[in-house]
Amino acid sequence: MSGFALVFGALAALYAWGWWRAKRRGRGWPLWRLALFVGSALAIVAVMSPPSMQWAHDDFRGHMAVHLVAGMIAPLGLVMAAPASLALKNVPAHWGRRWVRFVSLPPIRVLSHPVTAALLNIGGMMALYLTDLYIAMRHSPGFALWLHWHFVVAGCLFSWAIAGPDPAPRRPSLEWRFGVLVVSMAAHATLSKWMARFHFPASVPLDQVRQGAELMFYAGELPEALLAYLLARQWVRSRYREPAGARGVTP
Amino acid sequence: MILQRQEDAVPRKESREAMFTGTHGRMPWRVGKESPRSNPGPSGRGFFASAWRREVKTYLHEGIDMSERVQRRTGATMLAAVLLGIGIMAALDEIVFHQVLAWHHFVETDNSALALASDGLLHTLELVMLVIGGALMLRLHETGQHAPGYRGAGFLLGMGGFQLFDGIVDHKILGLHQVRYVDNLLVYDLCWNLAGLLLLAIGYWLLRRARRGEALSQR
Repeated sequence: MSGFALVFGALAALYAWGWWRAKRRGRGWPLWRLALFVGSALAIVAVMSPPSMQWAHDDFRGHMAVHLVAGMIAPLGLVMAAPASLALKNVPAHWGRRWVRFVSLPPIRVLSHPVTAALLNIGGMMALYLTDLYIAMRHSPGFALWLHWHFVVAGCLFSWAIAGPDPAPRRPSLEWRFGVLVVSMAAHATLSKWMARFHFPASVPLDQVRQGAELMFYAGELPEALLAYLLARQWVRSRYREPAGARGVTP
Repeated sequence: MILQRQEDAVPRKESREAMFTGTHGRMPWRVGKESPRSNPGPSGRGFFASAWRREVKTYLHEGIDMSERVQRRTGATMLAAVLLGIGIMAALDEIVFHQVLAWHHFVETDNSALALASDGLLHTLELVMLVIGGALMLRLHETGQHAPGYRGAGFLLGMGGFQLFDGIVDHKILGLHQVRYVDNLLVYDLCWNLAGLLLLAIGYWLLRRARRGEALSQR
């Protein structure tokens, strides 16, 4: 799994370079975003390292923990660090128009629509745990590798489609995004309850499935709640403005 | 202190009544041009409209200077407080009864797939209510638009309402789980639902005080 180390190490270095360059040119970029991006990238590298992958292969709880970090928590951090905005600060202005044209392309808009992202995310998980794909993954390293990339990329796509801070014209409305988020949260909770009750995946001992499903249920809702908070924050900020007189007045 | 600074900068000539006629705090060239942002408050006969007017009258009567004050959003405060009450009661239920006391479990052996799906949906809605309520309440306080008295009332009404809902719909109609798996279940059910009714009653009392302008906390 050194591909993860290579890719995410390079991305973190690129982000740090962009941060330093923006700072040197007097266009500051918050330090917490740098820390968030680098921390998330390192977290992915860490959970994809051989010892952690061995644990995930042997133990269903380990698999769940890896999935939790690589598919939910770290992607949220990567997206909330607004890498595209930082990149656009560091390139000539006309690249901004190119970026807008790129994300306006119909295939990109379909792919980054919340519904598509949620289907890739939750649908992929349902297919993995409720069918025999889980056994296939344990026996085929190539498929396992592809699947872990799918976790990471689908997680990033979902976070970006729901509450991404990067500029994107004609995003679906807040109602759409909230609705999709609630449905996918409910699907996540339901899937974990089904796994514990009906013993999916069947090839894993029931104890491990129970504990893994509880981990998925309780720990999995923390990043989801965080995503919901970020989205709600965008909504209330646009709905309830600062009163005109109060701005800049400190008690 | 702030008032002095503002008065130094712009001597204000408007009377106190002018604050509510739509010209207060607006640039001279904007006076008379209506925009949705500068609406002088609701004018209907509904509950929230009359609460808003009562509040304004209170400020006029007591001579509270409204130059610092912005529109207090009774409805939004109530909504945020109810959402927070529901979310926190649900979290308490899950933490105390599911995890600490372990009176009932993550899944019982006789749950059907549909009951579990409805459980998952309810759980998600509770979490989302907690998050939205928190974000909304935070924003109302940031902008000073929260209405006094309605926070506590809404919070207790939300808590009591959820307790009753959980006791009747989740436990009895959907049959997801019982309060505790013992023989004298009726006692537990009665306590559970009476606690919900008590919370609702206190919440209603607080709401009546708030609507009369006699909220326990005026801040």
